[in-house]
Amino acid sequence: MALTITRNGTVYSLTQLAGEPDAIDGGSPMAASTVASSPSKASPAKCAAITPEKAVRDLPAGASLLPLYSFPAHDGFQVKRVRSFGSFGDLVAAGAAAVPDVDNSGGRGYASSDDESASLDGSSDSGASAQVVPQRSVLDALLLGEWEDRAEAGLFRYDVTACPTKVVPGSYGFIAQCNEGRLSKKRPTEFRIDQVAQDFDANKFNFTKALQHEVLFMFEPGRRSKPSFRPAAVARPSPNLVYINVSPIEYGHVLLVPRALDGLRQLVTPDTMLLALQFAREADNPYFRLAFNSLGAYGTINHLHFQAYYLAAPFAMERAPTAPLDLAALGLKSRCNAADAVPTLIGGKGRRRPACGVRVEQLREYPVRSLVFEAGDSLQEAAELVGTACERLTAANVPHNLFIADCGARIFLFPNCFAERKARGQMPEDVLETQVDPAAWEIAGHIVLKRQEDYEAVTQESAWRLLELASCSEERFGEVARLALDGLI
Amino acid sequence: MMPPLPPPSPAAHGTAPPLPPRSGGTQRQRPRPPLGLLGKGMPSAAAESSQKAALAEVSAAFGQLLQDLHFSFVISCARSDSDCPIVYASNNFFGCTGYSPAEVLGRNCRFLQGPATSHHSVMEIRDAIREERPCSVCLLNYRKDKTPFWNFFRLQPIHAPCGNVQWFVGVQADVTRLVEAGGGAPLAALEANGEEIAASIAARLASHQQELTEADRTRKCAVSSAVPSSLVAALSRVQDNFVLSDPSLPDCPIVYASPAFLQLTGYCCSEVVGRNCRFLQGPGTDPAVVQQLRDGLAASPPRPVTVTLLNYRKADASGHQEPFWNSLHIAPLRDADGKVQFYVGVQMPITDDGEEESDSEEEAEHLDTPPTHEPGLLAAPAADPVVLLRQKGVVGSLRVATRALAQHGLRRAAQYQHAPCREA
Repeated sequence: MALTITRNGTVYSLTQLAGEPDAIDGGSPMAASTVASSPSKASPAKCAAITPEKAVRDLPAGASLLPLYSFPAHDGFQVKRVRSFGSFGDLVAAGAAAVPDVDNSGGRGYASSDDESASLDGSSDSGASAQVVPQRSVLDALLLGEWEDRAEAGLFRYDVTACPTKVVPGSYGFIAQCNEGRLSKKRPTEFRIDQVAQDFDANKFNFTKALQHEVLFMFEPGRRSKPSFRPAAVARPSPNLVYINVSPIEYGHVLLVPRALDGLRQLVTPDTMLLALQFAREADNPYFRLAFNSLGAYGTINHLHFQAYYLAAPFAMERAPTAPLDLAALGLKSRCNAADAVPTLIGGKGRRRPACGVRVEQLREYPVRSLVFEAGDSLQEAAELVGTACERLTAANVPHNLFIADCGARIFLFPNCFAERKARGQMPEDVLETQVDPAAWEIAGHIVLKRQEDYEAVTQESAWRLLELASCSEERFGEVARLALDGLI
Repeated sequence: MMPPLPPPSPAAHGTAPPLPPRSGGTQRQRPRPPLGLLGKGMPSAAAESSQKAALAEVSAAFGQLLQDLHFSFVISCARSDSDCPIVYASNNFFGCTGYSPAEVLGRNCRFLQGPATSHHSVMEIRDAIREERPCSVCLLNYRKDKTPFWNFFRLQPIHAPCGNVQWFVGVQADVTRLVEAGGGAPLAALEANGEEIAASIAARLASHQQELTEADRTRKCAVSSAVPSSLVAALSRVQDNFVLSDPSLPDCPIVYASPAFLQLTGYCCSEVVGRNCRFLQGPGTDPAVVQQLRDGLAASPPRPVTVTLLNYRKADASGHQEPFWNSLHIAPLRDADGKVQFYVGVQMPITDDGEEESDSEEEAEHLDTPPTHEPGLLAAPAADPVVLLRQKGVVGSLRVATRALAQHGLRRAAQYQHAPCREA
């Protein structure tokens, strides 16, 4: 017998608000009328134009233009290179491109649009005192600019910056938000939670039915070594699109939909994982994170999408300590050569850890059990490992969430048992009353509460209790880890 | 292309300033540079050398107080516009890391990180800076010769008498041998050691705050002491022209002006902070546009406004004020409680050979509308959509930064500010 829960799915697109949620037609006049009229943009081409009122599925017709962000498709992070800048001669000898700034958040300054050279760092760096001031990335500027533009156009259901937010007192620093606007008046629908992979249903809402105005830009790999932006470009055959989320939980809340026109289901594969990591890397902002909810773990739209937003504070999950996986206990053999081990510090004791590109650890001292992947130099490797792990979990019907932090360098993958407990009636009454379902963001530490009284009353203990109910048992976690990682690490 | 400007009528003002030149509709000779979404970030050679001199000066000021201390440590400026730069490094820093103090002045201390440095420990340091609290972290760092070493790092903020964090002290200790021997108790004991060292440095600097702040002329932005340092760090990442004004103070004065703004308008720090932004207006500024601005800000709730108006740079020696067309975007910034904390004003000067490529239809519309303003006042040129996008991007970045402010800035209260656990 199928396990189901009934809940109100979140409204991601304005087109979901008009008419029945499951039989929505993005091109209907009713849908169009709910969108505030948008100022028309400049249209350089003769026949193609920016057509905000059309649905996304009309893109292939070729008559529509969208902004395009092309990113350099190279593999590594530019961050993790050791830089020795002892003398100017070293810099010149090494070549500017070989010595990027060892910096998470800077040194990539694409400031001078006139500069055609591969890297800007070497030229201005004449020694100790001159330093390229770290900047926001181009993607940051673009995403925030476009988002702000849609906010001014009135596309969001409410002003998220007016929603009070606070840090719940306690050492973990859970962040609670009072967001009454997220409640929608639609009738709750039934979701099947014991089947993580479900067929794509074109009749239900999917992101091709959203309006083009809700798309901020296309996110495509480019051939150049720097990112570039074109305000109006012809849509590629199967573009990766970045949408706004009309019910945002924080500023800049967007949805990354890989190959939006291909009707991908809500499950992660290595190549879509790679796109998500590239998106995080391009934003180059440690306060911009991505998340993914599989079906059964509170993903409500069966059309592949990653969520992302800005919050200038750490999430409790990022702060929590990690410990290496006990491979023996899990029955896994390490693939790596012990001789290649890198130095590491665990619990104040020096150790040597296998140097296999991606480090896999377990989260400790946190209400939810989670795997933590720390990427080495290669995004490709990390995407391959995590993507394959997700595929295995999907195949085994384990509902799971992903949380991507630190510009794509840290990835948290955790199974989510909350829905299962709810469906089996194992949920305490007071938790049910808050109507909060912990998905990726909540479990990571950002809890959106729908009622004022819950916001006032939230404590670290109550948050802990809520999240604990989403965690699977130690035994089950061991099984999941083995299933996900066997033969991969 | 700018609309043709009528000659100044003598009736409007006696001494009309020369008008911004018109482009004359000629095609640009060189290929158009790719549209930039970011502001200018490259310092000129002259600016660099003056920065170098300023750094040397403030370093000497610290040196007088601290040079007899035999520890490896650095002092970074917390309220600078260039990402917490090092303003002083002790002589022992060389012994620990292989970099001489002169090589590291002006850089952020993160150059010590490298490939195997754990992201988690970097995040802890970043969070401690944001929460303006001390922290102790043992992380892998790299010397100048690229060899790794374990660094027991202690971060300590130094508060000014008014309560703001002015400087950060970073103490390094090479503990490689201890870690490789297994760590444990001897390593844990170092934490108390690091705390002591940092506290002794802080004590030395305590009574000299004022003179040290004055000796520091490395800062190029204008910022009032009311702005918390974590916000200053976020503001310094935005390279565009903008100001922050505080509506809770009388006449909504400027509390932060970016270096780019100072460069654009020609004013210096002290001439800007504490004044209302209207000093940029002048005789040719259209009062109807100014009223539009006022209406937007006075609305309840206040809404963002974008206008194009004529502004004036600082008067030069002969008293002449250079005018320029300014595409100005003003938006309210809310903190985590949802209350308006600041207004941000982003200025984008509209020049001939750069941004504007207004749609010809839009322009024609402009010319067709009969001027409703006084003779002598000029019709504003249309701004490029990418310029507007860039402005909004600035506002967006600042919204994210301001949102993290609420009393103590989306931070944990002091008694909770220790790591969730220590590994046993």
